[in-house]
Amino acid sequence: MKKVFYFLRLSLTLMLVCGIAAGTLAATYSVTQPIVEKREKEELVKKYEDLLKLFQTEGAELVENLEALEKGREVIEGLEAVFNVNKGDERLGVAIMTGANGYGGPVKATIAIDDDGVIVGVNVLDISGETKGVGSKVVEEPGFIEQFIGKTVNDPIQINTDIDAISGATISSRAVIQDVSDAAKVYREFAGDVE
Amino acid sequence: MKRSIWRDFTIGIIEENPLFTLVIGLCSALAVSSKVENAIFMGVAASFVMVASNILVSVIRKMVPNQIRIPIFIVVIASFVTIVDLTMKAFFLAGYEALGVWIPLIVVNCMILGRAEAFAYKHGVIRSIADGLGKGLGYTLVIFIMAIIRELGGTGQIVAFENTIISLRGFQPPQILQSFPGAFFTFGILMGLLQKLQRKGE
Repeated sequence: MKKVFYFLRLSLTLMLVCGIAAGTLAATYSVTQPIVEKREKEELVKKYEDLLKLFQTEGAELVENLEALEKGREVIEGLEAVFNVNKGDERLGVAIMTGANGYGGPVKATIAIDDDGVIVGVNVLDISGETKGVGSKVVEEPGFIEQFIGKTVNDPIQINTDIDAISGATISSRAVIQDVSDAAKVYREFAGDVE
Repeated sequence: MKRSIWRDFTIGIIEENPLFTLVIGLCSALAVSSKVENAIFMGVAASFVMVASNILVSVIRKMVPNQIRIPIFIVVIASFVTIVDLTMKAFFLAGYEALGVWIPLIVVNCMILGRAEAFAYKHGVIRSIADGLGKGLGYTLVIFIMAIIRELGGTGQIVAFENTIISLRGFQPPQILQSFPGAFFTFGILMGLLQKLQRKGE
């Protein structure tokens, strides 16, 4: 009986220590998380502003296209947002944010497509799951992203036939290529010219 | 004879330097010493965790049952590391991104568990603080010196906190100093030099 109490005491002590630790961490998290979220949101807004510049016009704005997002989600799992890029009453194109799986999680990218179906820009947003110095080259080597610019949504974008992958970073390259072809699919089927 | 508190502090810098003499906590030291800026961030983060865990372990040492002391130390250290990790992510993003996985890995840095087990568990709070500060300073100094050699030698310049501090002109830097073999060379040569100096003193 004595032994049972002894082990019980050890377990309870350990449980108490873990409980206190968990409480402390929860408190720290609740302080730091709002700051992190606020900054991430600001960064995202800035990324979209960079994207608007690709349409080479002043005063354009992003309007969420929820219908295309909802329909697109049924076929593309990683689809996160579909925006119409409007200037006044005129639509210039769309910006599509999607994330196909890379080496260690989704590789998020925003793809800007003008109303003629031409890809005008690709912004890779999140490569936190990719290996630093290897997979991260998809953003560090400008030549890789440039391969997409000017292609239309109907052009084939196959890895190593149409788009050269970064050697050593095939998986991360493939994820970006998947992002672009997903965006092209969304454009063709749901978000293309509405008229 | 009882060691003075000052001695507890200074012994960590050379005679019981965690890296050169005790040879613990090496992996992070080799990894982050390629840039001076990273070395400073890592030194401060690891020293903070070491001092904080030394204090807490020393405070609770009489309440901790001997059989479960190691899991309790680990929980204490892991909590402080997570606090550092979250705080850096919120307030020092540059440092957080540069150090990456090496911050959470402070948890398994045997230097910190080693000090909890070998010192803080057996000594009072004040002496444990002195020990943590001394070992932390010893660790920071070594990675700082290694980073100066590796960054200046490997890239030809030292860039810290967005300022170029030194730049060597007309010097073709040997890139090997930036890579892991370069870390081993630098570490080995420095360690050998220190040993030689200490022998001479005897």
